Amino acid sequence: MSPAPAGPLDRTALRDAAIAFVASRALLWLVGLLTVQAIDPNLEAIYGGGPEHLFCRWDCGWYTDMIRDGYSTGNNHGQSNLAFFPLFPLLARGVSAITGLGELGAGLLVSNLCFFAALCYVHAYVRLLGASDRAATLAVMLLAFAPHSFVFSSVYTESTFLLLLAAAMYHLRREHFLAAGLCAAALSATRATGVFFIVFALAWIVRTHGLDAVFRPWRRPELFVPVVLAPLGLFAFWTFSFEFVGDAFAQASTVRHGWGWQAAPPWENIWAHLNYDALSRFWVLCSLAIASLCVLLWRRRLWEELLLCAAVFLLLWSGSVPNSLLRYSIVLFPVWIALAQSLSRRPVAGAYVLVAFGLLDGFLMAAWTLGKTITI
Amino acid sequence: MSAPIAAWRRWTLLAALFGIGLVWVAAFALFRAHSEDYLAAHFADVARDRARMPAPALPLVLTFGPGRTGARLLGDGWTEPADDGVWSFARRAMVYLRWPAARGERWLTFEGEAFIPGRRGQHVRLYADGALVGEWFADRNSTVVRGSARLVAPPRDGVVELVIEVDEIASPFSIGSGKDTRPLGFHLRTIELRDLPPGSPPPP
Repeated sequence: MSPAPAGPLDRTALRDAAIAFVASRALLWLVGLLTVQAIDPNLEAIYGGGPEHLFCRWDCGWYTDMIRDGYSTGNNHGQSNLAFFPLFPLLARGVSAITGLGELGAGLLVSNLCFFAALCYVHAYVRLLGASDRAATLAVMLLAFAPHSFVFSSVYTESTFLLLLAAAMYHLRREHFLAAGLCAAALSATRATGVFFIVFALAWIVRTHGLDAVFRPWRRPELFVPVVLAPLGLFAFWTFSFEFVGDAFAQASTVRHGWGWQAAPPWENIWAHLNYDALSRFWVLCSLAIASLCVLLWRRRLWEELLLCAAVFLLLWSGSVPNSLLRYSIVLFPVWIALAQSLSRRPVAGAYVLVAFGLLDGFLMAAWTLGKTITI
Repeated sequence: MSAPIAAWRRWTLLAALFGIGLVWVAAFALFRAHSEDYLAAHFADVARDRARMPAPALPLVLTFGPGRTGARLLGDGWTEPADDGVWSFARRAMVYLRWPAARGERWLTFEGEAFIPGRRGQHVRLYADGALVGEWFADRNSTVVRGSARLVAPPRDGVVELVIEVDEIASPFSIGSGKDTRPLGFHLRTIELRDLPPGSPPPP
């Protein structure tokens, strides 16, 4: 009997995750602090003093309001907090109630705990795929230092989404179907793209058990537990929205009215963004660069991960608004795993990539601290 | 690989999963059938409330620039008013008016400019409380639309819903004629309401 694969609570996973977490967060915090002290001390008056405020910009305001007050029917020219999925604010609200922390402190605590746990899961996932410990270590480092990775420590949903996605995929591959299903259900209550876990799950079923498992589900119905449970979070949000404002798709309504989000073919949007202005070009080029790493998934025959990433990228590029394409892309951890596997035997190249990531992440952290639109 | 489960448990699980799947399908169908864009409804309600003013004396001219009276009567489908009017971003955009008091015939004249995304031109249609009251055509040689229609049927609640409909919307950026990425349809500038003797020709 082969030994059970090392899990997320394995000592190596915990150690590597802790090192990546502490090293990256400390450097980002230092960049933010230097930006405030050396470039613009007025930032404290604008955003608030204290280290916790360094990680609160842009949508952080929406989430802290939601953590404190919940959803509201009010809107500002169509923008309302029904644009944001409920799980992360609920978690933070629970933490706030238990610990007595304010909404900002609770949100930061949830984000950082989720990110640390996500790094542990990603580490375990890499080894579950049969890759080396070195690749696992490099994968968590790439994720921790990925450009825009400071959002994993902000009052944003990225770290919760990353944790739940990694956990759902890990437990599915370990055939812990109920655990995978519960994680997937929570995932679809975290972000709109969460329900795309179904793509990964179906691909895994077909690849692992063949099409016969799909056409004869009575033979192994447990395989479909994650698939059926995955939409639960989304439907719960739809049900709440329907009861609250009479519009189950209120999230889509408000992003359309308030943020001008329109659907169009991905190639049209990409071309438009590339030709619009420097910011749009930056965001779409970053997402294209990350998407290009899917080639590494192809080469390593990680078809399920490839299909998941492709589906999510197509959805992201279908939106007319290019803002945030970078931070939406960095949560697709399989691309970092594939990159890590490719670099694990090339220490110089791996170091170069990490340094480049760190520099770009630091630059963006400075921009974030200054409240620049490039980090929206 | 996990151990196989007993046959009755497999069928029970399959039935449960199938049942949950049916719940998703039924719930989605219910939501699709009974959900209403709550923001569109909100904008309409706000505009309707504002339109419930005392019946205006005619002739009345409404303009739709920022802060203008007409801008307060805009329902769903409009961008923020700017310059001398307001652009629609949807194929159908709503305006709410108080049914005017008049001794003669109530005539409405609207003026604006259609955005022409293609070579074919655009039809601009005006509906009053769901009834088509006029249709005009604009093309690249003549983008300005000035149309008149008689308002015949008074609404129950005293507020008439006008809908300005175009064939298609597109952004100037998408057709290479500017940096504006908003989808545009019709640029509404003015609505005039007149009280004319019965049998009068339409206003110019």
